[in-house]
Amino acid sequence: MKHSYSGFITVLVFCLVWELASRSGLIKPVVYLPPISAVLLTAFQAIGSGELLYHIAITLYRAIAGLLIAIILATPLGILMGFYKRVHDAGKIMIELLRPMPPIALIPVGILFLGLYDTMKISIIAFGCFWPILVNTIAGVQQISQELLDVSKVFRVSKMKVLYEVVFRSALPYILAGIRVALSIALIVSVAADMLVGSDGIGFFIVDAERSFNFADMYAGLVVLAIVGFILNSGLEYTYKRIKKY
Amino acid sequence: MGDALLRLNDIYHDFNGIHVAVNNLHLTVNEGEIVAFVGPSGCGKTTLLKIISGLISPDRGEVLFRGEPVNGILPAAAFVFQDYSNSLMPWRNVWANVRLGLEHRNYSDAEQSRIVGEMLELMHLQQSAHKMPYELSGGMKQRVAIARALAISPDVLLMDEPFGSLDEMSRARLQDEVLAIHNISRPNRTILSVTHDIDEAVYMSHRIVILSQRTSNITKIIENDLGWPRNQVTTRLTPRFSVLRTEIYEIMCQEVAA
Repeated sequence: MKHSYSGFITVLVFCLVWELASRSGLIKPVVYLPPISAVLLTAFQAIGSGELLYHIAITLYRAIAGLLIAIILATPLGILMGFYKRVHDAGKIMIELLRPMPPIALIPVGILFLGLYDTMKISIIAFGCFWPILVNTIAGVQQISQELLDVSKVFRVSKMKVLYEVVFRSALPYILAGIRVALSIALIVSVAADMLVGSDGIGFFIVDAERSFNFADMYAGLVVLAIVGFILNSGLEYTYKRIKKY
Repeated sequence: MGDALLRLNDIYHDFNGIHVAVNNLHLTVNEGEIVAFVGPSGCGKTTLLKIISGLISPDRGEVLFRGEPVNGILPAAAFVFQDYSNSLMPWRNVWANVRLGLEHRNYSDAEQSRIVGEMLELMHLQQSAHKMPYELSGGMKQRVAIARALAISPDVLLMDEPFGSLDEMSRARLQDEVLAIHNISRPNRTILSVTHDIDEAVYMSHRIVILSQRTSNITKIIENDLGWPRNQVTTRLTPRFSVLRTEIYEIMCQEVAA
């Protein structure tokens, strides 16, 4: 992937403003905003000690597990709902009722039934990721050209193959767009869940650092989070472009 | 030319009960015949072709193939669609697109490969076997669509404005290639083609069926007595060619005026 240099320059300017704002004493109290150089140093140390990596790995593990579960459930359901109008009609209102629900709001219910640990968090993340993938898959299936479906009929392509090849492949760019949205939701929910419940994950690391007045640690967690999000999104964008080629 | 291959019996079809596309239409097509359908936009040409293929089931009437009523898709027919940019599977290369109609049938992999190879050769596509549809020109895409249709060795080839959006030279070449395919197949392959190009209808047919938008039925059937083989230059220069195209043109003008 190619980036123009101007994008990096903006990032550098941002870091410079941060550094100056902190060192000039403009932001008070000064301890609330350590200079970015100190934050980065702390980040490297925390990564080196393995502590930060451990927490980020836990958060990512839950986010990705939830995302994968959502993909596995939402894609086939979306294909069926997009393809068969009856299934769509049956599910429509239920979806519109559940979809606007903030996943975080379900954490208390999750704790009741699933406990405090991974099962609960991964389920809540999967719930949040499910909707954008489902809605995008339905939209993707509904835009399939009638021509290709006619071609499949004339050349007697089996119904299973139509669903698996024609419908799925046509909808794939939409499904991937849905997964991209779901990925940010997965990260947000995973971090938020760490902040509310439990004693691991990058969300916990950040909250814990704030409570212990280790502000450099807190910012280090945020910086690492930003970088992880950037890498994940770039990876998906790359896949998206490759598949969209035709 | 042989016996009646297709018989359309009192076909009626409308869309949403409002727009009548085909109204009580009767037609018999003989084996080995090339029939061209012409008519203004909205006269139901495409609907008629889709009814014959089984893509649309008519509200009334029946299609008989070798005397038997057709329910659902007519297996003996292959379809070349109008919109070549959307009719190929964009994720399959040329080779795999041509194979499409063979995959469900009881062909071994070796047979599939052999047939696809033959079709690519027939349509001069060997060099492009591994190209993706987005790498092909319009003419090449339509070649692939024709190769895909011929691969299932259909008794009837249905073509919906197959060359409509091609440039003049590609159109002439493909017209001749389709005529050549008609001639080399034994028994001669039956071809039904819809077109809005009157010259093409005269050049590539034994009979020309003129459809009316007003009545959604046949206005006139013209027996095309031009000799064979046809030639893009000499056939089009004959007085008879002019007479036929003028006759069709005048009928269609009256239609539009009425």
